[in-house]
Amino acid sequence: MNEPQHLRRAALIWLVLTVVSLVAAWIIGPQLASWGSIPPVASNRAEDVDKLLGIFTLLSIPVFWLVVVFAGYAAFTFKSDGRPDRDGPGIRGHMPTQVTWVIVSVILVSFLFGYGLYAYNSLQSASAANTLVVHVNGEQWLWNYSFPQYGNASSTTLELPVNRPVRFDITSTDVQHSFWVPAMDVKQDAVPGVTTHISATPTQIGSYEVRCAELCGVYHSYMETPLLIVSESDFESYIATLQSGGSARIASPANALAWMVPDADSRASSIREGWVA
Amino acid sequence: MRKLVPSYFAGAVLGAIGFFLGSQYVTHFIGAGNAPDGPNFDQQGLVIGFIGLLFGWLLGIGAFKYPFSWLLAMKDPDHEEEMRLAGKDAGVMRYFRFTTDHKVVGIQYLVVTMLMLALGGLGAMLIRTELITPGAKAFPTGTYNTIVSMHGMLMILTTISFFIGPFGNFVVPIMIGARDMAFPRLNALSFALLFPGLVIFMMTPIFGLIIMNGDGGGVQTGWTVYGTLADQTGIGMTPLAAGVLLIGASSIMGAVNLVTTVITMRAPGMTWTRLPMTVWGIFGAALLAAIGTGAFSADLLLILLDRIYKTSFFYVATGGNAVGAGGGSSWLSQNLFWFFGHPEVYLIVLPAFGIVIDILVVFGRKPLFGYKMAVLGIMGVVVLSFLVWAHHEFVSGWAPEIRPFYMATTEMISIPTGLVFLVVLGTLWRGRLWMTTAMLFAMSFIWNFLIGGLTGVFLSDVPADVQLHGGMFVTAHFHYTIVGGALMGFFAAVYFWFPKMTGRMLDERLGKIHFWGTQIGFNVAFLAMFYVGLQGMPRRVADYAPIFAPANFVISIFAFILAASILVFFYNVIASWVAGEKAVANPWGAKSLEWLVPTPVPLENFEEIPVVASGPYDYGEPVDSGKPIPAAGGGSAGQVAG
Repeated sequence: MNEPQHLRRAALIWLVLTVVSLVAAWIIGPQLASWGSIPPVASNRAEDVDKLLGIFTLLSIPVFWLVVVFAGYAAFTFKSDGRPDRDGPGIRGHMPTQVTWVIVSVILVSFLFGYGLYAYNSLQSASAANTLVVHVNGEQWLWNYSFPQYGNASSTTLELPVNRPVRFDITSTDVQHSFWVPAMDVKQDAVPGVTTHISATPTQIGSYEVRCAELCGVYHSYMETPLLIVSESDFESYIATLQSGGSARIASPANALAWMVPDADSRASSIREGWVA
Repeated sequence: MRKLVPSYFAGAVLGAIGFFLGSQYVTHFIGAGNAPDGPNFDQQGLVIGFIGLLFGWLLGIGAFKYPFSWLLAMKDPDHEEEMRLAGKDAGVMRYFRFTTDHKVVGIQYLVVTMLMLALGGLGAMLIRTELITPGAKAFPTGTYNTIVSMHGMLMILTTISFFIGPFGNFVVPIMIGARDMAFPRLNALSFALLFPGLVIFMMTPIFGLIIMNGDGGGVQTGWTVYGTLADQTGIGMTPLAAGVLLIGASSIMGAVNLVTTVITMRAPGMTWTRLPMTVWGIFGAALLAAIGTGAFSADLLLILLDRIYKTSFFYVATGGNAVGAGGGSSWLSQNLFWFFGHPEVYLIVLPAFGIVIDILVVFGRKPLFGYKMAVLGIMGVVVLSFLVWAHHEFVSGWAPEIRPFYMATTEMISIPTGLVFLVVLGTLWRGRLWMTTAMLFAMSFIWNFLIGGLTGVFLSDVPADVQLHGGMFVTAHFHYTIVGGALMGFFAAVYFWFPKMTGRMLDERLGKIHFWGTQIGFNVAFLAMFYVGLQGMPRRVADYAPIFAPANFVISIFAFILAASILVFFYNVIASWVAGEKAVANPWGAKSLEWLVPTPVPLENFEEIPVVASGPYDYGEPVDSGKPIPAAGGGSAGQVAG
């Protein structure tokens, strides 16, 4: 077989694999959340970012198959049986291919950057008038919340009203933590000494979790507390409970140490139970 | 007895004595325990003990002999004496003392980096044992965090040195036609610091977990050692920081030496455009190490000062269990760390780029496709890698205004990396591929690094990174680049140069078992890790929610398969080194200079310095459609004249 035939055949394999993968990704992508393969989608940010991840996946499929097919085709077709007795052709470069390669990669990168910048800016939109402000304070190993618009009512569990923009003002009292709500696509480090910000609008009522995403010491694994996204009226009653001092404070794993049992298995589960006490 | 002084054995004894005297000096003459508002004497004692250990070691292995005789104005060593220092007629003992011959240093590095790889791999297995099911069952969480930190740090130190050390030292000087490195004594010193650095580093669990603090006493920080937590964590942090400081110094010395060697020691005719890509890759990595490592050393030094003398560079809060006066900055720590940390991952992978390209050329029997493009790719990565570090801080809150800049530079780095991929594909296309184990590992690099690179694009994007940052997706991504890329490149390099370095062939049959076990174990484990990452599993946790359980079980099982195949590799290396088939001078039919000298390589490599008349890539029959396209360094006269 001569050179153009090899090239045509490899290109055809590439085309078939690319189209099949694109179609598969197109079909599978929207199902992922319902399969539990990605976190639930419970905010405007999460919707935008999932779209972004989908577009990146679609773009990387042809690039992936291009390299794999040509390298794999070479590995199977040009394999020599044992030590080769002669050399391959003395090709030291092919200017048109090299130039095309550079141009295509510059175009791809420019698109990635342009689209990423657009998505980034649209997520930084100015805050609406009814934005709910939540002060978040990380502490080894739990989160403290307070609501400055509601007389600094405070709690260690978080409830948020659905469809109302939220701005988190985040800091830490001891070491660096990271405030992560996987379902809302919110992640922002809690840095001691400064206040950092991130905004999102919850869109789905439900029960989710808040995690620490930055290794923060012995019990980092257990720095995980519940988050409820509730209706406006449920949120009002949550605030009312907090203001009357009626909130149950979650025990930090550090506080839980005193009643920890030596057996590691039941210790882990007692720590988890400690939060919902 | 005469033979044992100086040697590593004497160094070990004197080092132990030095450590004992140093630490006891503090306890007896300065103080003991922790003064509430003053210095921390426990840690001060440890650090001064480490200094004693270092001096005892260097004295015992004979590193001070020449500096002192120079200071005492004795005569300059003549050539005969230099040769004795390089291990002439010393037999096997030359591997166990301060020896300047670059080949001896290369072998020393090869053995020690493989030991480090084994220790780091043991850490990985302990982590996967803990994570095989939910619930922190195998280890208490503080111990688990210590294992995670040590695995990370140890593997980074290993991968930093496992190209520059063994191959940079053994192969590069011969490849460029030099008799030794530019600074042979500095070279010997750089290895002489690595070993005690490793010993001090391994004291972390001993002091942290066993002797002093119990579960909370190890290192809680991960390899990123962010200052706020590093200041607060148990005493294990002190040996870790001191050991890594020492290894960092060793790495800077090695890097400076390599850069100088490549610039100044090339044989006549070995022009920049005739350098093998291995040399380019290691040269680029050495540049990164020389420039970047200092920031990390500064970071560790500030952590030690914070911890021992309460300087408060990083600690912010006051009161409670605060360290020092407060007012520090966590962002300072992050920036110092990542200014080193990101160039560092390219430092790890650049030599693999070069080595893989060279191996593809030799076993593809075809000239390099686009030499200048490959050089541009490697050097482009060198330059850009210093401009991307803040992409690790997209969620830190630091300077949101400049995030788009770092997003742009990070995505731009895929252009030079893409050039390397085109070079690789072009070289493979229509070659006569000889599927040795070295070639298989080089080819697996393409697959693995492609996946690592493409997933990196997801992380370079600010909004996408917000979701994926700090999760298992990131862990899987960088394991694809470092294990799938650099470690596979390392294995390829070992199978390729083992015959030259040891005079024996590695067993190809065991090599194939190693290869397939490694590929299957690694790929299934880490593809499953991408999956749990997308599901939202955070990094560095000892326990996790039930939804992550199935994938984690798969990861652990295949990680054990990966480890088993690497045990096959270690067995292969040891068995072949002892009783493998004897290697001829050029078993692969390669064309770069190191294959043209005899095996074992004589003490000064070349009887006469060669005059190079052609490049290392002169393979190939004339192209079907006319004459070959000429490239830089072309010409087809004999490789070595003179």
